[in-house]
Amino acid sequence: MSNIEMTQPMNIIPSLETDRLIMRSFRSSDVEPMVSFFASDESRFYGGPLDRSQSWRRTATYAGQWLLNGYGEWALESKENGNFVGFCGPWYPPDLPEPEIAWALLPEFYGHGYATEAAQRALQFVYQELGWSTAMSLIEAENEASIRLALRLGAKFEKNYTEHGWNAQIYRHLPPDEFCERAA
Amino acid sequence: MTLVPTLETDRLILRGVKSSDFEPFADFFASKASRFIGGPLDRVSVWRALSGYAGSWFMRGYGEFALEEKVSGKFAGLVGPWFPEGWPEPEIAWTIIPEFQGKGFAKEAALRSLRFAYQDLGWKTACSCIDADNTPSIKLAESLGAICEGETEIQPHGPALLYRHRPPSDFLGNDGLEAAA
Repeated sequence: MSNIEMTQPMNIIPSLETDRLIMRSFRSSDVEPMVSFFASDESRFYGGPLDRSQSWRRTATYAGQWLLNGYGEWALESKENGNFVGFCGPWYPPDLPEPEIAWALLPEFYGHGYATEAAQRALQFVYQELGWSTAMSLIEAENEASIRLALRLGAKFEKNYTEHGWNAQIYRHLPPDEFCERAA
Repeated sequence: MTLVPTLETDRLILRGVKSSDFEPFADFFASKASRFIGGPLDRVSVWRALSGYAGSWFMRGYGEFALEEKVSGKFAGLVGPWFPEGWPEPEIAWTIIPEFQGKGFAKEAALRSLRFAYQDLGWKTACSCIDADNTPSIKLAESLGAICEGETEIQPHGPALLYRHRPPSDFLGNDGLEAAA
């Protein structure tokens, strides 16, 4: 039999923790909630709606970025009941002007502050662990909930972004020192 | 990172996808040569596809390997176990970029991938789904001993031929020597 050691994803992607969330690598059990997210109208700010096969591929694309960029998005899991509630993290496909902090929640988990909690932890990670000196979030102009979240995080509107078919706005997050001060 | 094991054949390293694979992969997908696997595609779509191949390792615990030619260190293609949503069953897939076609790299990597699927992943059977017009790929499947079982459907691409590979007992022989050769 084989002598190849198969290392589990959990060992290579740092798992992070917030008060109410585990931020971990994607896995197969996330497919069904991702399929339902991308079947819903709520996914329209994320290139949706998508069918099953497209949703699987999109999830794989989020997961796989860790190999390409050395960082990527985490699946967000509720500590309380293990539910997959959404995803969040640094994201840098070639149609973006620079790396961003992205976030998305399943609609049934809106209104609990989960995205804020995850985005703050992700910002802390990119500043402290990845050494980013700046961070932004690219948000579709009509995604009001996301824009409110960016503002709550202390981000400021910087400019519109219309390359590669986007109709989006760049929100610039607090720089590392101010972010850490505020978090402290 | 060791999520993806590194395998070796005579002339190839099979390893996890990395960022330097993007440019040669994008060049390939810009050409008509990519028509049997969903191309041509623009650069953004290619990046997403490449990231998706890498992400399969998280979703399935396996996925396609990036091939690196030992002698040059160049990216030569993607080969390995692949089972996206919308496929009838897990397959062994192969894609060689034009610069490296005609050297037998796909066969070399497919043999190694089959052994990996049978020995390390414990697959009891394996297939390859191939576009009916993709003559070189069909020839390769036949040279591996695979037999066409008929037409299947792979989403979102559409109809494809399903080639059934030799079962583990036959492929691995008594001690796997043939596959290792």
